[in-house]
Amino acid sequence: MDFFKKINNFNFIFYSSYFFKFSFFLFFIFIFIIFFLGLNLGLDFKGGIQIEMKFKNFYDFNILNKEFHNLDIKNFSLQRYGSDKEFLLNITEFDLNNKNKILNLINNYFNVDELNKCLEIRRSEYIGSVVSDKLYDDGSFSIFLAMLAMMLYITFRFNYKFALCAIIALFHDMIFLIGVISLFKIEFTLNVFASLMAILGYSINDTVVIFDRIRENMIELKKYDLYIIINESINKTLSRTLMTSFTTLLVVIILIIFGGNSLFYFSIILFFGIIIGTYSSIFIAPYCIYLFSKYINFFIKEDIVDETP
Amino acid sequence: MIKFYNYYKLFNFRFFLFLLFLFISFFYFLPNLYKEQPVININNDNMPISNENINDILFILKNSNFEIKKKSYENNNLSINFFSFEEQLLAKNYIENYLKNKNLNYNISLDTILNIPLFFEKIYSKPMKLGLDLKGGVRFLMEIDYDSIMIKNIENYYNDMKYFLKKENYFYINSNCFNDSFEFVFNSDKNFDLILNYLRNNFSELIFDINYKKKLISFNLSDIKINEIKKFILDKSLISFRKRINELGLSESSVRKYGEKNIIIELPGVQNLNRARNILGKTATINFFMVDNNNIYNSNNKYVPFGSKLFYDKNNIPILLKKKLVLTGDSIISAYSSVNEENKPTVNIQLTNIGAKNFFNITSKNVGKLMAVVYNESFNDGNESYKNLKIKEEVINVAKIMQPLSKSFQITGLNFEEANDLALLLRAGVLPTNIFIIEEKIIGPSLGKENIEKGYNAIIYGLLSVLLFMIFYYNVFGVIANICLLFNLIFLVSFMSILGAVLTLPGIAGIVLTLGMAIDSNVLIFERIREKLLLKNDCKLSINSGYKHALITIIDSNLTTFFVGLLLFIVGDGPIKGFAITLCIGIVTSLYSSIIGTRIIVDVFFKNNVKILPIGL
Repeated sequence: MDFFKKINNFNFIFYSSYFFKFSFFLFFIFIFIIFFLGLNLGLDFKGGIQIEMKFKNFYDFNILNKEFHNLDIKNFSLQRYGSDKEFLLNITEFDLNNKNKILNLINNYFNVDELNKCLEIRRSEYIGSVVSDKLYDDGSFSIFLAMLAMMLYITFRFNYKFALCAIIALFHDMIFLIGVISLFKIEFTLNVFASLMAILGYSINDTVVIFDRIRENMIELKKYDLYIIINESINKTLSRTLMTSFTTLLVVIILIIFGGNSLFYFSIILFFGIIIGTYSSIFIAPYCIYLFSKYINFFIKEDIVDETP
Repeated sequence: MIKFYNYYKLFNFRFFLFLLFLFISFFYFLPNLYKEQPVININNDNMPISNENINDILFILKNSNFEIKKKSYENNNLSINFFSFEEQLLAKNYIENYLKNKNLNYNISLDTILNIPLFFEKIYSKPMKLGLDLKGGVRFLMEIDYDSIMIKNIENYYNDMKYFLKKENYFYINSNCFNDSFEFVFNSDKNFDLILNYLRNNFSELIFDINYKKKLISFNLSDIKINEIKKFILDKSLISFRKRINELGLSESSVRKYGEKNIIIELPGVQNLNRARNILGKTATINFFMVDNNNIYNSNNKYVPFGSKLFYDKNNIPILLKKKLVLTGDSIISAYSSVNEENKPTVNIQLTNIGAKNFFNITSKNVGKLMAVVYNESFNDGNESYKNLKIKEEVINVAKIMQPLSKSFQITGLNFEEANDLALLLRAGVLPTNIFIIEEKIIGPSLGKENIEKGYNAIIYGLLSVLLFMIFYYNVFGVIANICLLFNLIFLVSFMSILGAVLTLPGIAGIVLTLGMAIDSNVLIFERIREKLLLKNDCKLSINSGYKHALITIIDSNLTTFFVGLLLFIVGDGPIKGFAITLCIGIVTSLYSSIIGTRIIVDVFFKNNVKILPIGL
């Protein structure tokens, strides 16, 4: 089986120029979106109380909403969570004592019969504002740190010019993903954050494979123009890039279907992230090299020394 | 790289090493396949449970048609093994109901046990630990209040300095004590340099900020000293929490520090939250005072004389006690609760040698006089404000000293529960400062079970789909990659079990993702081989060149990802950490199995130069 027999002579750089402009445009739109819509921060980053509950039988959303109003719970928002039996109650409240009061209230109201409980509190969390603020800072810091570490490694293995291009592509991925999260108002939780980091790792992996080939071809095809070298490198790695993306997407789709509520958004972000990451590795990062090569010499010095056999 | 590649030619060594690794990992992988069985544990803080109660509980369960697989009563802990998790949950309701009716304050925890063969225990082969999101339980994030400790330290230094200056007859005009510093203003005579020298010698751990014009010195704690204090407090808190949790009889709990001022406590399987919160957040101790016999405080005479302090007993009756402490809780080395001859709850106390000596001296001087035991309890009620520490102080017992008291004695005046808790908290030691809960997470057992089931399903289906696709795309080479992918799973799981890594839900997602990405190395290699084959190279050469060229790329791309994982592991916690662990271990094992593992099999299959490679071209 080989899907890519016929398409291994594709002029990527030519098309990239259009994709690059397109991405450039979208990049600013996404920054705009993030700036104006903001992030729908989840409990981990916002603090407060969250209670996940499951009823034995079907329960009407509106009735339940009213009942919580009647129970005199303040500042809450109720949402369906998966099936018609499962609900998520978010309360903006920063007093741990009140959490227990509310839990008792709910328990006493719905579980009148102690031996045959019709409501099960599956999870309850309280996060103070001190923690959530710290988590938010730590999170942003660790994304920055991860990018820095990767940049250093690529500088060490290639050179700083390659590193710069890789980071531009990564930054592009992150802005697009956070933009998608912001646009669809996906709750930004720790799990979603973990998926962002996973994409960071995945995308750099893809990019490095292509860069590696470019570096190799810079030696093997050094008589040719960088335009041809980059095109050849993307074409030669294309089957691998798409194959790996495909198998990983396959697995992620299965996570979306079978992973359950807790992993749903985690998997969704992975899904988008893999597509964006693959796209940026093919169209953005190599094109950056081509663009910059007009101004800086990308050929590594050692390669030129190699010229005399 | 070329040298590394030549090393492959040591076929035998490489081959047997791989087999050996596989063989070893298999034994550490196997225990993960045993299914956990639901258990309910009932205990009473290491106090025995009466036979009558045990029989009652078993009788109720039997009457309600529960099938009990196994039951045991060991170490004051009753554990009942059920056939299904649904029964376990339901049975818990029944037992809780019974205990409530009987007014018994026992701990009930839902737990699981594994019946793995003894052989695995001998080689320390244990299944992966499950995180809270998979097992259910309670997690607390506590914050240590360093501020009040620093204030106390500053105050101590301030008083010390006052004392020293007085002793040496150095006079000062003015002195002030603030929260993070204190200052002295001296006479503007020649003595100033002398005093300064003297203080420098005696208080070297303080930072001096000198204003020569005003003859004013202000003192701060040095950063080294502050860090030293913080470390001491943190360590002491950790020890105290560990002791308390051991007292609760929880086996798989964990207490660890998080950053420099937070502590994470995880109690898997615990559902009785109030009790856990009480035991963790409360500090209880007892102090002994002499009763002030000369003065009486009542509604007519509301005068508190100097040297005495007003206390109240349980019935809110005021009593004057002498301020000077006879004995503090610090001198207690062990305490346990029991019942005395009159069937009243007592706490039996044993003192340290020094404490006992002092106590003997004082009590022998005061035979015939009244002594009071004051119960002191401080707890935070979960509020984030630092000053919200509530202190309850009450006289629990006033008794005439009949004879000099020494190393061990009893105190009465508490009810059963209080006696129990007091003994427990005295044993656990005092928390060194205020510590409050800033995060609380409770995950029900059924959610955890559901998460596990879904996670396992995702792993199995994900694996299957990748396996099928690889065979479809790469034929025999796909099968080879698949075999190594399965080896990879075994390596990964056994590695995680050996390292004692905790499996969380994002961790499972990490495993699934790693499986998807582990194929990447093989894809890289196979695509290279295909490339060479298309250039009309012979098979042997194509294989060699494919592995050789792909190797650098694979290492480069995986190492970058590995660094991300490593960083996440260092910075993150909880679910993030779980994800990072699987990612990092996954990269290591998948590199090994997909580069070296597949090469071994490929070499064995295509030892002789075959004409056509079944690589799906």
